[in-house]
Amino acid sequence: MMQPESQAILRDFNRRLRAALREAPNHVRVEAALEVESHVLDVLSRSGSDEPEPDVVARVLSGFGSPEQYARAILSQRPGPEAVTVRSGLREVGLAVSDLLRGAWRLLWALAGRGAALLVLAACFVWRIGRGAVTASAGPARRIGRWLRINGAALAYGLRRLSRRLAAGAGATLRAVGRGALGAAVVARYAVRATTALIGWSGRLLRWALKAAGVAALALLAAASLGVAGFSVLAPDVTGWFVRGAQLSVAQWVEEVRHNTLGWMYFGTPEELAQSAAVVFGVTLALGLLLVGLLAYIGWNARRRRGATAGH
Amino acid sequence: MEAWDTQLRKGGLELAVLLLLSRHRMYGLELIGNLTDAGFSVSEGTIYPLLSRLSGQGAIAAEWVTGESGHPRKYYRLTGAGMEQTSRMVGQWTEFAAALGRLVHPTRFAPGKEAQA
Repeated sequence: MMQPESQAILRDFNRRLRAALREAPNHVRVEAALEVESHVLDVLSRSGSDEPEPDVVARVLSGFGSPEQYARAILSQRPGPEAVTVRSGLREVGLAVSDLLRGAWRLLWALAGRGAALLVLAACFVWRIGRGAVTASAGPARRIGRWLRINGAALAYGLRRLSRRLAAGAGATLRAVGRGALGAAVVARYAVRATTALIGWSGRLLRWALKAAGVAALALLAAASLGVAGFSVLAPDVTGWFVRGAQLSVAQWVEEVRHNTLGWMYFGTPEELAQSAAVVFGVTLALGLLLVGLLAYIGWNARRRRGATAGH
Repeated sequence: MEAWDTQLRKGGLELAVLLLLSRHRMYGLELIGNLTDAGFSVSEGTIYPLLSRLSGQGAIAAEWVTGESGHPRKYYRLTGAGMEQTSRMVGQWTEFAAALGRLVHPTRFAPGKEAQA
């Protein structure tokens, strides 16, 4: 695996090469950059350097001359502008549609990832509201509800700090979850007030419905999380692509679509994809286990309460 | 003089690449290694644009293959049109080398000697 400095040198070369080839069609820019990367990897694997020093990569790249020189050499070998025909127009349209679909798919995954994180948090709070909002008998749950009402700001502050720590360690995906948690805490604070005011003794039915829905959502999310964790082990490449796609900002995504017909090949080396898959595995497994634990606690608490009621 | 040498090498390089690819498909680094072994001093900045042009002309075809190397690698192979072009170029080269040879070594290619041979 290349050192970060070596990767940076290669990336910088290809960035300058693509910029110098801006007059050429998209596929020419992409092919040229891919070919440089492939050649460098070939030379390095032949020389047997697993972690090449930056100067080794720079030496290999010097065979191409500067990116601008290499771009001029490519352009000088190309024929003049192609005649615009119906066929060439259709081909361009086809490439554009293909790029657009690929980009939309990545964006969808990115949104789905953030949406799922928000859903988990929302389900947790709905369950708490359902438990703690109204009943006099639900002591601990009621205390949680009251505590949440009183300490909502403190909780928001704590969650904000927690989200910052997570963000520092786990990158853009976890940052999104942290922000979601912060937003959900604020929303929950107001939701607790509103729900308490709205639901009276007749809210027992609603409480049970909310509880059932919350438990069902938690069970579903736990199963989905464990499934995703399993999938990241079975298909780390695919998972890695999705994660790296989700990590792209909109600006990066637009840039990717503009410059990259064979987009997925730029998502990273196999090692980087495997790392992304490992992060997904770790995060989703932890989330899955957390949810399973929560479900177990709910079950245990319900049994205990039933036992206490029977004892009375 | 240098310019003439450069032009000669450049002109010959295209034929050399086509001849090498007529053996079997090769990727960039493999091609550079074979050319170096054959006595051509060629850099990456020369060979890849040339391959790109030949590919654009339809003389060679390229495909990305992810094999045992672990990363995508672009292999080049000669097309049917490329084979025709190669044999045409070999004929022209032979004719050209013979014509120039007659001027470089006039005695070896004297009409009488040629008739005797």
